[in-house]
Amino acid sequence: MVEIVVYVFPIDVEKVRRMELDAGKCEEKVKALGLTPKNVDPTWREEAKTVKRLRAKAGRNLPEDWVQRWLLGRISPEDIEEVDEQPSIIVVDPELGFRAEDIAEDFSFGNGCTIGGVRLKDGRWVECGFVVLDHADKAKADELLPALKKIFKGLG
Amino acid sequence: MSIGPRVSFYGIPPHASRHIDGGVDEITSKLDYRAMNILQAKAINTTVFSTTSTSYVDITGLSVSITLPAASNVLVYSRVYQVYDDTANTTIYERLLRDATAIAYLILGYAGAANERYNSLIQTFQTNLAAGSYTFKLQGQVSAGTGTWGMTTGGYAGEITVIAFPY
Repeated sequence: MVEIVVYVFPIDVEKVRRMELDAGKCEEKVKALGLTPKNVDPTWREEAKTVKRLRAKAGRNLPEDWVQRWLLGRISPEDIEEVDEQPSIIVVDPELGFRAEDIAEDFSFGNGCTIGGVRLKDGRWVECGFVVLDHADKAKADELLPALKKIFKGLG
Repeated sequence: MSIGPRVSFYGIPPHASRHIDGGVDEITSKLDYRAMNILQAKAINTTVFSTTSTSYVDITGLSVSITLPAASNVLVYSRVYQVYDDTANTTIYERLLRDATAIAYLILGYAGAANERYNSLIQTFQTNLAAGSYTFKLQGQVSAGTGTWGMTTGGYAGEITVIAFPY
């Protein structure tokens, strides 16, 4: 079952430099559209090629709340591992001038809203913003693409 | 945006040894800088990066590739002038990767106030890496809130540097 999808949008670089646009402001507005960024579950991480899932290593006797403890630095990286879950789904706004298959395969989108850039296979970075959403939101997000694009440009 | 790798190679072959049979001090004093076959690669980022991701995301511009012609020792160094989260009692993580392998972690915050600034600095020394191409990069995540890596120009830039020399 497909769990997550990432949308990549152009940003207003000057607003980012003036600190008028950041990931938190974008996330608030994305949520106001009724969409759910996937950072509610820290075990998910989307790379350009594959979606990764964090889990406890076999034989490790971790407490039930190990994910919350992991976020507080109370679980050793030695006790957990990431496994490939599914191929990634990446939707890139055409204005950016590159395609999803141009992104470096090891590039990590994480699981929330980010204002920064994407590294392409040729080594170039392109400034942009992206949001990783629950796949259940994909149909709704596709309908809301113009509104999402405005948010990442600081216009929404 | 001044980001992207810059690689230089000071590959003058070592000459015949002239500092054998000495003690440590003597050997050090006679090392010929030009004969050390040092490789370096560096990337600088001068743009602000922010994220609400609770799993690791690549930090803009802080990725560098290097090709080792032979087995090498490698010093990896990354620095970001100021890192902060807009929410109190949150944790900011960084990790340094060599290709898909995490080689160093850094934890910032934990019980700090909202928007409390931290310097981010990671240094690690990798010994006897086999010849070949490697990509080193910095990733970050937050436990909650919005994490910001405040990289701008001059001394406020973010950087990642790799220095390699023969094993």
